[in-house]
Amino acid sequence: MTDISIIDRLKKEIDSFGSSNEVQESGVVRKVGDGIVEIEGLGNAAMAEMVRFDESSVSDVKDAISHDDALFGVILNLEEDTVKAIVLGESSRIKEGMVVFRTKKLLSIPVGEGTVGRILNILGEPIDGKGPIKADAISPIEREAYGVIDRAPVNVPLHTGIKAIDSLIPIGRGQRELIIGDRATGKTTVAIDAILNQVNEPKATRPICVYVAIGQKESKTARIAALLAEKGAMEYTIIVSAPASASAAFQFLAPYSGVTLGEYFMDKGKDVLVVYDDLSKQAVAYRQLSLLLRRPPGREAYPGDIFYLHSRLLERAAKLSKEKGGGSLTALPIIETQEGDISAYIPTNVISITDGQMFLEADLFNKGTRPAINVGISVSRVGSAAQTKAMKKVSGRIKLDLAQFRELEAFMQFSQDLDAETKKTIDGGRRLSAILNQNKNAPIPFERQVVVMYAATNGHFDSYAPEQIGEIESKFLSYLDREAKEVLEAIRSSKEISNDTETKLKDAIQNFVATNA
Amino acid sequence: MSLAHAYAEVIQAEEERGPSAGFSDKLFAFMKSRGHVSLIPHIARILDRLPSRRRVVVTLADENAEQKFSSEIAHALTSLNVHEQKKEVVIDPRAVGGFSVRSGNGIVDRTFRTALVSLYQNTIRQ
Repeated sequence: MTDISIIDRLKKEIDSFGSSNEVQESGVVRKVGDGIVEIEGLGNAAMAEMVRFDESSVSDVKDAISHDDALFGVILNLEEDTVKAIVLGESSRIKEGMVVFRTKKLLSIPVGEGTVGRILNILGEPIDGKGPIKADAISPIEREAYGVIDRAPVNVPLHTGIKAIDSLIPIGRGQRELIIGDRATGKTTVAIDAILNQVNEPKATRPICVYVAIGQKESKTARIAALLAEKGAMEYTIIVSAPASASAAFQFLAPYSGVTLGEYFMDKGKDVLVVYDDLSKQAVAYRQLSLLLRRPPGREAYPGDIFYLHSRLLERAAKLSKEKGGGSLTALPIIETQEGDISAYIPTNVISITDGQMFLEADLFNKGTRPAINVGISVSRVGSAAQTKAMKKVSGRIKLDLAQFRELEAFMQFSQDLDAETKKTIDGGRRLSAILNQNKNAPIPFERQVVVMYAATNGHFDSYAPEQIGEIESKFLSYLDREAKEVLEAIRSSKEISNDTETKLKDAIQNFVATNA
Repeated sequence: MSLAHAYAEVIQAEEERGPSAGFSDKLFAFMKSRGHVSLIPHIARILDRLPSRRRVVVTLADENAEQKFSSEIAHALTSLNVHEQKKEVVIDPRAVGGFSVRSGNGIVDRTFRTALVSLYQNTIRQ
C-alpha cells in the first residue's frame, strides 16, 4: 500500500465514520482456554451467532492494533448465566475481562466469482498471497438444504476420468459419493483426478470445483495446489484450507465454508463439485470442541449430534429443478478408516448418508491395482442413470465378468489344472483388471474410456497378455488420435455409439490389432 | 423458579423494605442449616443482573472529560435506562478520549480508542 493510498483510505473512512449513542449488547470474558471462551452477559445472544472481541477494552490502542483483523467467535453453548463460544483466531489474544459484543449475525463468508482460483481460509480470507478478493455477496455458512420439491433427479454424469469409476460406479451431478479407505490407499488421488478431469469438459458445462482440506498437512495442500495450477485446473477450482495446525474450530467449520462457496454457483445454475478431505478429521475436531464445551460424550466420546454434523453438510448437495436454475452440487466426502474397519461409528454414519461409496483397499493398492477400488463392494445408488449411452453400452457386463473372475481366481490357488473355458475367463478377468488400472493424475476423457472399454469387452484385446494391456491401451489411443479422430469426436459430441460410429471403431480396432500383433 | 432465584428475591425484598438488624447473619445460618451455602455465588450473580442493582460505570480518559461530554453522557444514561445519580466514574487513560457508559449487558462506547481501532481495521481491510 502506498502512503497516498493509505491517506486516501483513511480520509474516506473518517468521512464515513459515524459514532452514535446506540446501545450495544455486550458481555465480559470470564474464562478462556483451549479455544473456548466463557462469556458472562449476552443474555439475548442466539445460538451460532457471531460475537466480536474488543481487544481495545483491555489494552492500549498500540497493542489493540498489533493485529490487523478483528477477532470473532461463534456461540455454541447457551447456559443459564454464561455463553460459550469458539474463537475464530488465536485465543492467545483474548484476556479475562475483555468486552465482547454481539454482531446479531450468523457466521458468514464472502462468496462470488472472485473466489475461483484462490486458496482461502474458512473465513473466506485469501491465504495465497494474491491480494484481496472481490466478493459478490456474503453468505451464512449454515443454511438449510433444499427441500424435495426444489430438487430434480440426478441424471447428468460427472465424469471423474477414472475408468473404474465412470464405468462401474458412475457418479451423477448432484450425487454424494463417499470415498472410503485406510490411509495411503489413494483416496485424495481419486478426488484430485476427478477435479483434474473437468478440464476436459466444455467450459459451458464445466463444474466449479471446491477442494476442502481439513486437518491436512500444509505441504500436502501446497502440493495439490501446485498440481492443479500446473494442469490448468486452478482456473475453475477453489481451495479452502484448515490445516492440521489450525484450531479445532477451523477444522470443524471448514466443510461448511466450502459448501457455501459452492452453493453460490449452484444457485446461479452452474454445476459444482465439492471434495471434503476428510470428514474423519472434522469429526475428531468437533469431538474435541464438544468435550471442551462439556457436552455429554456418547459412543467413542463423540457428541450425540455427530450424525447431524455430517448429514446437514451432505444434504446441501443437490440437483436443482429447472425452476431453481437447474444447478447442481456434487459432494465427494472422504473418510479414513482404521485397519479397513468400515463398520466403525463415523464410517457407518457417513455411508448411511451418502448415495454410494467406493472402497479403497490397502491390499489391492499393494498388489498394484491402482486406483485400489474394490469394485465388488463399491456402489453408486444413482447407477447408470448417470451414464452416457456410450458408456452404458460398453460397461454393462464388466462387473459381472470381474465378479466371476474373482471367484475363479480364488479357486485357482487350489488347482493348476484348469479347463480351457476357465483359463479364458481368468485371462479375460486379468485383462479387464489391467484395463481398469490407471496412472495417477492422468484422468481420461470419457470418449477415450469408451473406446478402450469397447475394445476390451468385445474381445479385441484377447490376443494380448494382461501385462501388455497398459502399453497397448496407450498405443491404441495414440493410433485413434492419428487415424480415427472422427470416431472420438462423434462419441464425445453425441455421447453414444451409433451404428456408423461402431463400424468405424471396429475397423480402427482391427487395423490397430493387425499392426500391433 | 430455582432456589437461587427464590433467595435472590427474598434478599431484594428485604433491601427494598430497609435492611433489618442481623438479617444477613440469620440468612446465612439458615442457608448453612439447609446445605444451600454453595448457592451464594449464583445468588450474587442473579442479584447483579437485577436492573435496580446494576452498576453504572462511566469510563473517561481524564477528569476534565466528564464536564466536556456531560450532555452526551446524560443521553447515553437515558438510552440505557439508568439514573444519573447511580453512576460511578472510572478514569482510564487508555480510552485516549471520549467516554463509555456501561450498565449490565448494555454499553454505549464513544471512546476515541474504539473509534481509532475501528478506523484502523477498516482501512487495513480494504
